Amino acid sequence: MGDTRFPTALQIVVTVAVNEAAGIRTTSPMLAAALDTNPSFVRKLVSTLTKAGILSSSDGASGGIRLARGPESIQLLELHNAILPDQRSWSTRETIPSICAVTRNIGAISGQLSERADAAIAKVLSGVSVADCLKQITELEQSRPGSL
Amino acid sequence: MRSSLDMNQDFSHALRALLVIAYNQAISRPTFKDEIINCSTAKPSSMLSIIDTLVSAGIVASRANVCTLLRSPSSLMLHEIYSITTPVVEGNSMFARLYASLLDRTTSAVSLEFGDLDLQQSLESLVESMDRAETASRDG
Repeated sequence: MGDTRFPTALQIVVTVAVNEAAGIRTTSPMLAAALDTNPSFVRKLVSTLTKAGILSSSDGASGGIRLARGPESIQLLELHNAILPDQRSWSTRETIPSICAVTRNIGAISGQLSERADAAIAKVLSGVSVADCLKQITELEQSRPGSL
Repeated sequence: MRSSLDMNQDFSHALRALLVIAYNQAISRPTFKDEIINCSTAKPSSMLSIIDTLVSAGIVASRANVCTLLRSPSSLMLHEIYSITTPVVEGNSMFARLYASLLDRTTSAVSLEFGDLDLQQSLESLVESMDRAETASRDG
């Protein structure tokens, strides 16, 4: 199974943003149920996003999870870097057995391509904010059959 | 749903498989499926699935466990390989559709970045690395 941390974190942040816009309080159990995932996985991601200054959470009857800043000031690149710091697209494992000419020499090629791909992806993510995601969700909701 | 935006390891494994075949063809040696599987860190079942994808795309032929390139390395663009090995997002929820559009944008950006790169250039880089390593080993 692949790494689902980034899409899950993005879904958490977008869900919090949608709820905030609708005046609905968000809690970890609510997020775990809505995302159909493990509550401890949600808590871990919320903790990481809180430390990164993307979310804030408070206890108590009126507490819950909120965006730490306005949705227009949170770029997806920031979110990505908080969840997957220093991750390269195609990191070459040091443990690959050098059994043929390709395995012995592919590291340099993979590294160069990975750098270029990472830069291209970062450029896209730095141009998209949580507010853009909210706008797109609203548009998708309005274009749904049966919606007004 | 596909996982992270930038964790398309299938591309890396496909490139490795294609380089093994291209290199062997350049030195007139057959490429057995087992060699491709052993040259990768992916599970054998994943590598076989990647080979099947390349066969379905008309890039590779596989007969009697021997793989060959159906096209010249210079006509095989890396963005084409990237697109073929990039899975699509499944699901029809609002978030799945939002994420699919984000994936489309990142995939297009990477494809654009790889625009003029072809397999022949990667093979030449590989051979250069091999020459440098051999020289260093001889001199050192």
